[in-house]
Amino acid sequence: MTRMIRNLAIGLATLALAAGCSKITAIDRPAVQPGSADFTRFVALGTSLAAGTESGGTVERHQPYSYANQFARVIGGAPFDRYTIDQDGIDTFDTGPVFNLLSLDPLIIGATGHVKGTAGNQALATDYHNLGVPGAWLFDVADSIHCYHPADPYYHTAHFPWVARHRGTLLHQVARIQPTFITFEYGANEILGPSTQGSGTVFFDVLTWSLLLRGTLDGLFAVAPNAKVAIFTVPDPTDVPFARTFSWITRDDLGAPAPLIGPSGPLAAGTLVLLTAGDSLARGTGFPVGSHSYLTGAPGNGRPLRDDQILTPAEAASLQAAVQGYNAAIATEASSRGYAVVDLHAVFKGLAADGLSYGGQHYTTAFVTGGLFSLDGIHPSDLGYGIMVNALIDAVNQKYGAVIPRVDLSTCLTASSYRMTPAPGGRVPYVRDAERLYASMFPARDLPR
Amino acid sequence: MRTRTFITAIALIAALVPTLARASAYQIYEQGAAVLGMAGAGTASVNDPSALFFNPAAITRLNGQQLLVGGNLISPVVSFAGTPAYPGYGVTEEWTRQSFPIPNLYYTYNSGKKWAAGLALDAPYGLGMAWKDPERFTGRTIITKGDLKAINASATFAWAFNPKWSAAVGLDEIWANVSLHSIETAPIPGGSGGTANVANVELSTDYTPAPTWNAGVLFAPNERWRIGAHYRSFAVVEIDNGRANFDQILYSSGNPAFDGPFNAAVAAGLPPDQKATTTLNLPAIWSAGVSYSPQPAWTIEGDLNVLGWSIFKDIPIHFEVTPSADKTMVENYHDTIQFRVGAEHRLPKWTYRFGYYFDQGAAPPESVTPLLPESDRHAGTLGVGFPLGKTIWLDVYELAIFPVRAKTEGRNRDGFDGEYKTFVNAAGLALTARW
Repeated sequence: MTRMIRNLAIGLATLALAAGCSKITAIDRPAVQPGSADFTRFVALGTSLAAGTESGGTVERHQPYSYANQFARVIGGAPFDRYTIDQDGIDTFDTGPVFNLLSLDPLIIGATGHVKGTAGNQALATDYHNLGVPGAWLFDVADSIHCYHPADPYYHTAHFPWVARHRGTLLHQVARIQPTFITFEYGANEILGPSTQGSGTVFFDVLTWSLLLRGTLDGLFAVAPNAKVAIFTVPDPTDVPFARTFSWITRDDLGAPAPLIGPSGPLAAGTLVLLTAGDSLARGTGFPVGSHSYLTGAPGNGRPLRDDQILTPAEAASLQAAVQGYNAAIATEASSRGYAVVDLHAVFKGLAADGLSYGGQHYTTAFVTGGLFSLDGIHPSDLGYGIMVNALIDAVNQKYGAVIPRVDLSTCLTASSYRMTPAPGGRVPYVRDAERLYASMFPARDLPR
Repeated sequence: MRTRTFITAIALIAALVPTLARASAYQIYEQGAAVLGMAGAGTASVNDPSALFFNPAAITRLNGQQLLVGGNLISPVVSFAGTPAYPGYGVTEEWTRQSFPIPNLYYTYNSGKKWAAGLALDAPYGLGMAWKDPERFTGRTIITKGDLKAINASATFAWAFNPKWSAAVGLDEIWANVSLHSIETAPIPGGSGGTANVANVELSTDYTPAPTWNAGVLFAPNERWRIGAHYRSFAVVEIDNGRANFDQILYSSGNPAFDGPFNAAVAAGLPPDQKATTTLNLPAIWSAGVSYSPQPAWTIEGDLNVLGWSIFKDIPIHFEVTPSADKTMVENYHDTIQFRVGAEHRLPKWTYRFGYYFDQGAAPPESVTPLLPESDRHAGTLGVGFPLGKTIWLDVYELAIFPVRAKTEGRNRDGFDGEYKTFVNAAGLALTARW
């Protein structure tokens, strides 16, 4: 019996020693299991969101955080070539660098002190796998005429030649790569173009866009018949800070509610005042006489805001109807073709409604201070892109039975100067010289002739 | 004089009272070295003054006067490995290694007739934890350090109806206090990335009393068998003397264009130091045990305990000045069971004991937190006892608790997900004087 007790004691002591001395080992990211998908060759077709545009332009310090580039890193192994832009990046029109936060109090955002970059990796002898083009429309995927020529009146983005590099249409390049997996993300620029210019009229009505989508996807299937595809829905343009920062109503000097003034008189309830109105609002324009600017305290001068600085409820509803139509077409095509659907529309809606609590912080879609969107009020921050790629991962996992671990969002909490705490008693942040700065992001573009 | 002695004892216990971790959530069952040698299986067979904790009906079977002075040392080792979403793969953290003393004091008096009485000072609840390197700990916005201290004083009266049946009732008063520390963070302005620590937050309270009670019954049909049952009531401690302190940590990036406005913004956003209130729910415990002596020198016992953890729904914290900062930490614990089995062999010169218990975890994955990383536990114990002279008996035990890994399964309520690995070593002794 004494021996039994001794053995028990020794066993217990050994177990205790082993348990007590060993710290838990770190949990490694699990290996990717592709399910029925194949990630051997991955190509991203998309817009500035695929390119990683932030704060009015594209720059290498943010490009790696685009959903496409993060997804490529997560699945690993597959080559994923792309263009890079050094220094402080280039805006959509190649007129200057990306925006920068210059001061918290007063809040100053601008390009001062930034150096415009140059596009790199242009001499690569093979096609890029990230074919995301800032400003791209769905129409551009198979277009071989308009997008390459700076002199062409329909030319709209400096980035297209840097991405496509005159190597044929994007579809041609897909055909050469023969991807096994494709992300497809278009439609946002067709909506954002008019919305950022205060218009409710989309260039492509729902029927036209739906037919264009079907044709493009048919073309994609023709050149890459075996590729699995994840297709993104189109977000609501009224969910982004660009449209949600400025209120349509203020209080006059007596404390009574007073709608701002638009081209047709007092703004209707729910009118969206765009970030491009910042300079006007700062001067007191749009504020009734007897009130003061909620941006600067300047006395209201009674002059109206311009039509392109606001989205009336009817215009917003028109855009939302177009988004709904586009997304219905996406759902139909995805369903009939067996694609995974990444519901970016729902993701942005959720963020606009609830924000994101992460790591002890609550991030919101508030302009400048929220942390989910960059300084242009439209493109996500690095963290916002992390949320996007996790939505993509969830959709792929669900559709194809893959096991792809989500991106660790802490790796997206990066040097983003726009994640800041608002100044005490500070007013609504606005961008000085906003009209000029934002004009380079979503320039007017005519329909192809 | 007796009153002064009693107050002195309370003060001593208060000074030493546990901030123990990981016995069973914040319940502490380590109260008597002899019973702990049998893995806490003592509801039926306990035969020293710690019966006031395990089953006070048994004090009718203790002769004369007996005084037990005991001490336990509990040493938890807790480490954490992160998973997504936060803090993500590759992150590991660990608690500062500490050992927590748990004293207890039990006195019993048997009238020699049918009744007996007892006084007890012990600590049936407690919690203590502190994460290493709190300024960098990835869960610092949730908790960096936490203490729950509870002192229980009880007076018990027991009655032997006949040689087979006895019962007891005890009136208890629990004094509890709590202290929680965390760090507020804010996104760093100006492009340096990450977050900065901007304030130390402390919620602390004074000892607050709450009445409770316990009752037990014991049936000994013959020399071989004993059957016991015990109930210790829940307690709700309404703490209205809390203090919440928010001490700003000034941030410096070296860029005055950002630092000044940033620190001013933080200062403007911090609540003032103020009074706070909270409610602490301490669970009830039902115990039933059967002991059997196959030979005169041997006793084996099996106990089943049910713990009413479902009372621990949340920790509401109300701030008097800034009620908008009120928060409720949702816990939603569920009732749990414990199986305890143990054996004692009484040799001519000494006694040895051993045992095992299983203790079910009370927390759902959402409530597996850096404050209380709850999970199922397995434990093994060994104990010995021997006389020190004619009237003094010494019992010693060693207990090793092996909780299974506590996993949040990506559902932690604070978004702090991962796995916790825990080991708890407990050792204790008890000196029992009989006269």
